[in-house]
Amino acid sequence: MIWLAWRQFRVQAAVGLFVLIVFAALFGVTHSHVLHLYNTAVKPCGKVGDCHSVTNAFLNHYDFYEHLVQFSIAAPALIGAFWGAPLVAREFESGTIRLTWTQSEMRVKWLAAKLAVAGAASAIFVGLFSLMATWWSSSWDQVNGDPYSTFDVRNIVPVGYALFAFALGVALGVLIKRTLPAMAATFVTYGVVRVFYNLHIRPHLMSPLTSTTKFYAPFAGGAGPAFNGPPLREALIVSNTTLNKAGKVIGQNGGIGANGEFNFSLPNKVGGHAYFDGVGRCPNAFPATARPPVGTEIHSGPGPATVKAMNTCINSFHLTSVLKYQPLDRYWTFQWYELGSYLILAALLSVFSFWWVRRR
Amino acid sequence: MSAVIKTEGLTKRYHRNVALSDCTLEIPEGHVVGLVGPNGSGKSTLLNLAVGLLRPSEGSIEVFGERPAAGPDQLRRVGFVAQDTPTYSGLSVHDHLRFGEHTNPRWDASLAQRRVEQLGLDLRRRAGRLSGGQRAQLALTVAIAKRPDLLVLDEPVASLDPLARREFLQILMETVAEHSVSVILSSHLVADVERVCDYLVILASSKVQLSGEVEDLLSTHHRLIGPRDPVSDLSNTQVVIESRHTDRQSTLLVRSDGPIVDPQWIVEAATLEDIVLAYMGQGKRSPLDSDVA
Repeated sequence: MIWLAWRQFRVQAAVGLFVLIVFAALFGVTHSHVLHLYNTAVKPCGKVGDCHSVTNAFLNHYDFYEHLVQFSIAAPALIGAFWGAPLVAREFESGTIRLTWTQSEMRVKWLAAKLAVAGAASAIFVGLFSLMATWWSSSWDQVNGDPYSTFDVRNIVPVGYALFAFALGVALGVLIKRTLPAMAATFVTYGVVRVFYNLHIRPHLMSPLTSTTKFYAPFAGGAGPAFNGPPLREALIVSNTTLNKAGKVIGQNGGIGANGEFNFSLPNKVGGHAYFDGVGRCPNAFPATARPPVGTEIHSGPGPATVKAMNTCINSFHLTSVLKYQPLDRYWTFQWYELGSYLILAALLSVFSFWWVRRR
Repeated sequence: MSAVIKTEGLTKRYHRNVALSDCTLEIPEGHVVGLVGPNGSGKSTLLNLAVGLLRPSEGSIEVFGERPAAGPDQLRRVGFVAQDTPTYSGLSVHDHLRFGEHTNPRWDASLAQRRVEQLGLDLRRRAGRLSGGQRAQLALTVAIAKRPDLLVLDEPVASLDPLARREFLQILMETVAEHSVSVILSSHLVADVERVCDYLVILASSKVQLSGEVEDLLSTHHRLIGPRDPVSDLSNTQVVIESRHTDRQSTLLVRSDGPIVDPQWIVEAATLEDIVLAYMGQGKRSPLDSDVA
């Protein structure tokens, strides 16, 4: 049965191999250039001083990088739709199931062989791809300095996604018995599960750390830090709420209100009072220069006197920022946890496929 | 003699449609069984139940005394050529033989090889590029080389032209003679069945209308032609299966174990086609007679 499974899969395997070779070539050709750029421009800039523009230029240099990220995200879904869904559905559709299921081997064995061959290919394909992508991006990632932002497309988790997507495709194929609808269903279900997991499960795999600070205005200049964000840029932010003096939550995402906004409504006439939107009336007077044309609000770029007035206003409310986050040193724990959860899902889906095939 | 297929109260429903209803049947070993009936009468359903591709909604079916597809040994004993003779269109003829070899412990490679040569099939040709007849032959080859004790064929010749059809049936008969295998094949054409079968099962309206050896059926069924409104009734050992009437005369198809001696009737031997059509009709409109003007 392994023979048949392989014989049926070999064209798809060849396509997969071809894609891998194309990417390997692209990675190989561009990697030395990336490394050269990193070693000659980014690395020495630390000694000279301002690295910001250099690193930005470096990060923006590669269009290829963007496409790489897109493919990394899509690859497991493609595997689920093109390798998983047709695996059994096509046999139903073409009627060959009636040929295969009436030979002398049990259909469970047949499914096991198919799952083993195509499943192993899925894991190997995505595993190798992720290995290459992780290797190629290492200097890029170092400069970017935010490992959680590329969590899904690096290291070991893509293997979990691929096996999950594959098992999902097979199960939906078994259930729907038609290739195209099964493929579409695989795409949609895979996307929904991934988004749900990223938003609602990953941040809570371990209980997050908490950091409580005074609320600062999220802009540069004047008093206070430049950014009212996390203390560690490399952390995975679970929540960033703003609390008022009484300890009530009045804002999300490091700002005020559900969307984390940060606005001041300035007085229409000189000597009037400004409002810190969503919080209250400022007790202090704002400088005349803060007054913009009538009816507009300030989002950025206020002058130093205005910033000072805003900070005075903010401080008068005694707000606190409560940041819940997963620190960088949990990165690998999270990789293993997430790999594990997707492998469990893949196993459950496969059990379902076996059960369904047996029961028919 | 033990039964090849034995069903009891076998019923298969698809959602609300009844495909097979309360079917009780026992087919002895060593026959070439023709399963006939109009389209949609449940032939395919019965055969798919027999090879274990479907499960009964109610009742039971046993093949060689076991539930179909119960285990590898049971699967090995039954060869199946499904309707439209599915094959892997991307796989070559040679691949199909390898497939058979890999999935069947009693695979007869030399038989398969011989048959493919006889048929003049190109081993490298993909199944998708074979003609309908060749594909049917390939499917039959895989089923036969498995060396089953029962060969089940679901409308194997339905899509073939008359020449290919005759060739297919001929090869089938040779195989049966050579390997003493029981066969059950379905068809909606009586002519095919007549040519090769010695046992007949008639399905109509999802019920078994008649089953028995062809010879017995022919000897117990008679065509009676006589005046309309006969003077004397037929005796109660004689059952009217079908009656057709014109203004002046009636034609009856009658089942009777003994000979019919009644001067008002001209008694003819019924053909298999007469019998099949009569029983199919019976399934459709049980007690009512049809009038032919």
